[in-house]
Amino acid sequence: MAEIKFEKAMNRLEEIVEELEKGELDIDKSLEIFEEGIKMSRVCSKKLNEAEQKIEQLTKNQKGELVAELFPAGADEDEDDEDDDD
Amino acid sequence: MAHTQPQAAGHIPEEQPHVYSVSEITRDVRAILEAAFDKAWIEGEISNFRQAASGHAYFVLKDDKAQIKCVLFRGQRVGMKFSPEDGDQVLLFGRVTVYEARGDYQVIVEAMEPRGLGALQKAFEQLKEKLAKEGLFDESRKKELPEIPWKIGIVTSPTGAAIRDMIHVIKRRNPKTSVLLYPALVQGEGAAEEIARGIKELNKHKDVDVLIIGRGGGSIEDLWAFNEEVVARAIADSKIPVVSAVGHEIDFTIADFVADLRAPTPSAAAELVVPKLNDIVQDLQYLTNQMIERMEEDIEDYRERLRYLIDRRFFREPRRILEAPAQHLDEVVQRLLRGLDQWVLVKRGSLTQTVHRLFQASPGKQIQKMSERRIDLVARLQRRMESQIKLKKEKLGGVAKSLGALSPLNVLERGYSITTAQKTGKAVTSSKQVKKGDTVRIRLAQGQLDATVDETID
Repeated sequence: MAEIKFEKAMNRLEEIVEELEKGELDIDKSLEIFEEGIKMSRVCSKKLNEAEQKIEQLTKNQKGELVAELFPAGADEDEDDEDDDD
Repeated sequence: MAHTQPQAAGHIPEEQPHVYSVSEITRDVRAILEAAFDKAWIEGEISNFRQAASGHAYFVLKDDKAQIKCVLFRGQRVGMKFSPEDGDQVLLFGRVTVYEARGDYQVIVEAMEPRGLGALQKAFEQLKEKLAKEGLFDESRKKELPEIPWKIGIVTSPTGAAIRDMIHVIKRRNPKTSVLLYPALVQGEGAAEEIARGIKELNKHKDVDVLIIGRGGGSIEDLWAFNEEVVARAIADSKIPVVSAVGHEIDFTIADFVADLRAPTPSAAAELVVPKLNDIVQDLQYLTNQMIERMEEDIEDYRERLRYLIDRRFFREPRRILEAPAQHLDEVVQRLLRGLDQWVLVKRGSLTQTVHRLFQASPGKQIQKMSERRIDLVARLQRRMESQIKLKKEKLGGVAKSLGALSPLNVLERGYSITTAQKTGKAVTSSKQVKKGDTVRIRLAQGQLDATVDETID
């Protein structure tokens, strides 16, 4: 199954809300897109839940190929502030 | 004194003097000049610059009192960062020689750089103009940045402040956003090539959503790599949108012009590129809530319509109702009611289920909160539906009562009567069903009458 991109799912969800707000659909169609919207919402939460931050850098291995490795300066930084730019 | 041999012209020496051929003297002059001016720095203004088909260029270097011819061979020209033009003040390095065929003495230019405007500045202006002409800076070329990037490719020094700052900002704003760094020299020999390679390399990583290339602030020389053509071309060729982040508030680099977005500093680039996780979660929450509420309303509307239809159907067709026994009506009503209940149950069930499924697998703190709110919402929805169903039942009970009012017996109360033929036992609805002398039974609200037909009138 092709994975639905987060942004796409979010945009579709927005469209669905707009369509429902217009109120021009019959109940069956409404329910149909509603179910789709719930699916989109799930795709998004799933992605949000599963996404894990990785700070990596590309380094050459012995064969001279570039591979992603943990970037040391990215790992040890303290989580000192939660949100200081509001 | 009269016979004195006139001294012929006085200057001719006794010995036969050396007579130079033109070639000879020119060669000697050349040798002397070349020995004396093997390496010379000359400053002046270029005029009469022209380029031959061979690729060599010829010009005159002058100041307010004198001028000297200069030649710039193609080989030397290729490595130069700027293209000389008439009027340019230049400092050149070369050797003086003589072009024997014409007897011109001239400078063979080895290297040259503009004076006054600044060598780098001039090179910058020229590259900028050239790339602008090619359309590399056109708005139409600019790619849109992703709204929510999950992985950010960065080309910068792994040891500088720039990468630290960016990681800091990214972590703070969105602890779900990943970073893939291509470590590159950002100043000095080979820096431009490394940066360009980094852009190309990161383009091979399909999961990278956006690139930031940059470095912290520095002098114009420090930032020079970002003014090189090879970097500009790599940015232009990138399939992934590129944000330039060269730490220089005021001056723009060539990279800034080509990039899809220019940020004044690396941290600013990170701020621009990475949306706050909080905002994303809130958006999702808002949209989902909005959708469920809309749906709730839709279902409500539908129920309303259904109710209306049921009511209307009964009252619009009293004749059919009159014909049907009262219990049967009750059954119909019950069936409709059950159908409606069923329908609501099914819908509510799937709604609850989907919403539940949606938020079940959500361990995160944010999501947890969201999930609680959602459960609350679903409970509210359920309560509302239940009370609606109750209301509906009551309403339909009322409907049944009104239907009772229309049952045959109640009609009789209002003074109507039912006549049945004694012979057939059937209700008489037409004068043609009986003949003169037939006996009929007339059913009243209270009691009945047996009667004989005196006359039939059609």
